[in-house]
Amino acid sequence: MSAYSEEKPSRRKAGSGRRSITVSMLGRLRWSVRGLLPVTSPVVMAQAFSYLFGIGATLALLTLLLPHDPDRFVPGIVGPAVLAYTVAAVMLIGFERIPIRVFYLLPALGAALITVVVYSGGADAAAAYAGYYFWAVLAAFFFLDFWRAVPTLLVCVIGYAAALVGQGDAADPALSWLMAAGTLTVAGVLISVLRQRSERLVALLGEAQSVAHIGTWEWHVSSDEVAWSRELYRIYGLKLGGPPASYGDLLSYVHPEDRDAVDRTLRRALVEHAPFDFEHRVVRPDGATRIVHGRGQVTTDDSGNPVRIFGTAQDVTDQRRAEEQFRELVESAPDAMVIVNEEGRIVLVNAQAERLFGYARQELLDREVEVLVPERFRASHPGHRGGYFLDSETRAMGAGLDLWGLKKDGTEFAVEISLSPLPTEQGILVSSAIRDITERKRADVLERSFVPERLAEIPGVRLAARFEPGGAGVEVGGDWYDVLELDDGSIGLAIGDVAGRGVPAAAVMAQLRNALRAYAVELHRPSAALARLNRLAWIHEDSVMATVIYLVFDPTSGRVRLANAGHLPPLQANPDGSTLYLDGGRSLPLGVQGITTYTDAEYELSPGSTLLLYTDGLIEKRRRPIDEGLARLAACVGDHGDLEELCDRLLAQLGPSGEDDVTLLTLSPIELVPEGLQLTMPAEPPTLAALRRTLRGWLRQCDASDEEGYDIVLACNEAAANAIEHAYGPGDGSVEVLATLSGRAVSVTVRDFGQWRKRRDDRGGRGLGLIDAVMDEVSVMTNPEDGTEVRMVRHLEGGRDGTG
Amino acid sequence: MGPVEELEFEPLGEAVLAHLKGEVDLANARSVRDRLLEAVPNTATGLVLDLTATHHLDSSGVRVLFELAERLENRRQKLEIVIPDEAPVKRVLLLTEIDRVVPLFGSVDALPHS
Repeated sequence: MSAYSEEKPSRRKAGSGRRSITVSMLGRLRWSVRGLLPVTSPVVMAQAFSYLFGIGATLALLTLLLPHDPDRFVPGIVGPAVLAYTVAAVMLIGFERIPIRVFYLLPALGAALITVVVYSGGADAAAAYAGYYFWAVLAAFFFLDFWRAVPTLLVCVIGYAAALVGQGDAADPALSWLMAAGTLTVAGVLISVLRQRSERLVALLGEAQSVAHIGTWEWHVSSDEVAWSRELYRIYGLKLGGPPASYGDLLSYVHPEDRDAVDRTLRRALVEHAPFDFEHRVVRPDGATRIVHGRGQVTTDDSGNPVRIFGTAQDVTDQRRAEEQFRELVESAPDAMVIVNEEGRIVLVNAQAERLFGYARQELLDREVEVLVPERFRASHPGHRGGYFLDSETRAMGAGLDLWGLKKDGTEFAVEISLSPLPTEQGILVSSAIRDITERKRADVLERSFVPERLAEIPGVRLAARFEPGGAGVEVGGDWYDVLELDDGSIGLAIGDVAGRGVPAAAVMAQLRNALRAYAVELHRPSAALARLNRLAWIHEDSVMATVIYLVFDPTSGRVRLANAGHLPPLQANPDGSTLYLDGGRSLPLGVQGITTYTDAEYELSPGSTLLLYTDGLIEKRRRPIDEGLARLAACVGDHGDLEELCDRLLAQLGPSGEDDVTLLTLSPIELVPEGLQLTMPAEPPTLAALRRTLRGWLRQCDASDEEGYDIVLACNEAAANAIEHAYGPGDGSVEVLATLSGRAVSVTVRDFGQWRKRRDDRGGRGLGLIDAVMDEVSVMTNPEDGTEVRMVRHLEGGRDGTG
Repeated sequence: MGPVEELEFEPLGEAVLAHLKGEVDLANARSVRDRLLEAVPNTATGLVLDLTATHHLDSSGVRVLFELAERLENRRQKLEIVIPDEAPVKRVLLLTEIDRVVPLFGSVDALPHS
C-alpha cells in the first residue's frame, strides 16, 4: 500500500473512500437489477419503474372518488401517493444524479411519514402495514445488506407497532408482532436471495473477465472516481482491493509514451460522446509492460453532459506479441511477402516487397493488391482472387502461366508467386510470396541458347540429345553440350557442367563452349583443347570450376579419342548388350589448377554401338552413392537401336528427380558401306562442307585416288550447290545424295524436290560445265513436279580388283 | 559446320598479298570476296591471291575470282593468282579457264614484280 501511495501523489484523502464504495454499490445494484429483469438498459428500467409508481399513486388517489370515510381514508391514500410520486420522480431523474444519501433516507422518511399519517388517524392498521411493508422491501432492494437495511426496517417495524398502539386497536397484539416479524423475515430472505444472485453475477462476470483478459472500469466524471473490476487490477498488476483511483491515477499507470494519446482519446470522447477504441501499454509496478486494448462509451444525462464513461480493457499482450512474431517472420522471409485480406486489400508487406515493387510500406497498406498487377491483368485479377478465397490451399499461383508484377515506376517484371491461406480473427488472409524471376528467365534463355537447338545431321553418325532443366522454382544449372563437325570429317562431342547457377554460370558456360569450338578447329587432340580450356578457366576473373569431356570421333576409322576434365565417364553400349564405362583420360576439373596435364584415351566404336554422355543429374540421387547411379544407368540402357527412344526411356527412368539439370547426348556410328552412301541434308549452303567430307571418306573406302576423289567430290558439290541455290527459297527443302559403287564405276545421284528458279547468272552453267568436265557420264532430269535429278558416273582407274 | 577458311594478308611491294587457306564454297564465297576487296586499298597496285593452301574451290569460288578481277580492274588494279601445279584447286581454275582473265603464277617468287 505504501509503495502504491508513493506512486500516486495525487491520491485523494482517506475520506473519499466511502463515496467510491457507494459508487461500486451502485454498479452492483445495476447488475442485480439487470439480472432479475429482462430489461437491458438500467435507464429504461428506471423509467419503467417510475411510470409504474406514478400510475399506482394516481390510481390510489382515484379511489378517493369512491364513497369512503374521509377522516381515516384520505390521509392513508394521499400520504403513500405523495411518496410514490417522489420515488417516481427520483427514478425518472436518474439514480446517478441523486445523492446516495437520499436513498438511505428515503425508506426511513417514507416509514416516518406513514407513522405520522397513522397517528393523525388517517390510516387504519392494514393500510399502514402495507406502507411499511413496501418500504421495507424497497430498503432491501437498495441496500442488499441486512445490517444496512436495519435502520429503515426498524423505523418501519417500530412505526407499525406504534401505529397499532396509537390506534388503540390492540385486539390482537400477538398477531401484530407476528406480522412485524414476518415483514423482517421477508425483507431478510429477499435481501439474501438478491445478494446471492448479484454475487453470482458479479462472480460470473469476474470469471468471464479473467478468461477473456478483459477488465472493466467506470469513470464517474463529476466525482472523478474510477471503479475497477477485479480483472483490471490483475491486468495492471495491482493488489486487489487497493485504493480506487481518480482519472489521473488511471493515466499514471499508462506507459509514459502512450499517456498523451490515451488522454486525448478520452477527452475527445467526453466532448464527442462517441464510442472509442484505443491501445496502449501499461507499466506494472513490477516493471513489466503489458499491452492493453481499450474500448468505451460515454453516458450522458438528458442535457447531454457526460456523466460517466464505461470502458473495457483487454490484455492483448500475448496476441500482439504473436502478431509481432508473425510480422518478424514475414519480415525475415527471403521473398517479398504481400498479405491481403478478403477484400483484396493489402494488410502487411515486408521490406523485400517494398524493395521489389519500389513502394514505401505506407503507400501499399490498405490499397488494393491490384496496384501491383500490370494494367492488362487488372480486370481479371479480382475474380481469380475471389476464387482463391473460396478454395484456398497452399499452391503456386497461375500454374503454367507467365506472371508479371508491376513496379511503382511502371516497369513490369517476371514473377513467381506462391499463395497460402492464413486463418485469423479477421477472417482468412492470403499471404503471397513473390519472387522476381527475371534473372532466372534470362539465364534460362541464355542456357537454352548454348545448347544446340537441333542437332545437325552429320553423315556417318546418328545423334540424339536431351536437355531437361531442373525442377520448377530452381535457377538454371550450368549444363551444356556441343556437337562439332571438324575439318577432317570427324565429329567433336563436348559435354560439361559449370559449378554455380544462374546468369553467371550461364555466362561462363557460353565462354567455355565458344572457346572449345575455337580450340577444336585448331587442335586435334582433345587433351590439348582441354589444357587450353583449363587455362581460360584458371585466368577467368570469376573463379570458375567446371567439368567437361571432349571427345573426337572419326566415322571412317571408328576411333574415339577423349579427354576428361573431372566429368562422369561416357558409357559405351555394344550391340551385344554389354556396356563399358570409358574411364580413361581422366584429370582434374577445369579451373582447379593453373596448369593441368590432360591425357587422351583411345577407344574403338563400331557401328551398332552407342556412346552416351550425360551430366550428374542423371546419375546422382540424393544420399545415394554415385557408383550405384552408374550401375543403374548401365542396367537401364538395354536396346539402343533407336537413339531418340533410348533418350526418352533413360529420362523417364532416371530423369529429372529434383533440382539438377539433366543432359544426355548419344552418338552411334552408321556403317559406311562402300557399296552405297545415302545422305539427306537440309538445302542450306553450310551443309556442303559436310557433304564433301562424308563423300571423301566414302571414296577413300572405295579406293579412289586423290584426283578421282577430288573430281567426284567437286562434281557432287556443284550439283548439290545448284539444288540449294535454285530449287528452294531459303531454309526449306532437302537435298538427297545417293552414291553407289558398282564394279569400279562410282555413280552419284543428287536430287532435289523443288522447282528450279530462273538462273540469275552463269553460275549454274559453270557448275554444270565443271560436272561435265570431271565426270564420265552426266544426265540432268528436271520434272516440274518432282524436282531435279543429276546423275553422274565416274569410272575409277586401277584399284585392288583391277577391273574397270 | 560450314566451310572453314582463313585469310592472311601481307604487303608485297605496292600490292597486297593474300593467302587463302581452307575451303570456299556457296556458303562463304561472298564473304571471302568482300574481305579481299576490303583488304586492298585504292593506293595499292593490285591483289596477289595465293591459293596454294586452298583445299576446295567450287564454281561459287570461281565466280568470286571473276568478280574480283572485274572490280579491281575498275579500280585500275590488277589481280594475280599464285597457284602451284600440285595445288588441289589448280584443276578447277584450268577447267573454268580463269587463266584467260587472270594471270596464274606457280609461286610468289615467279611474280614479275617481286
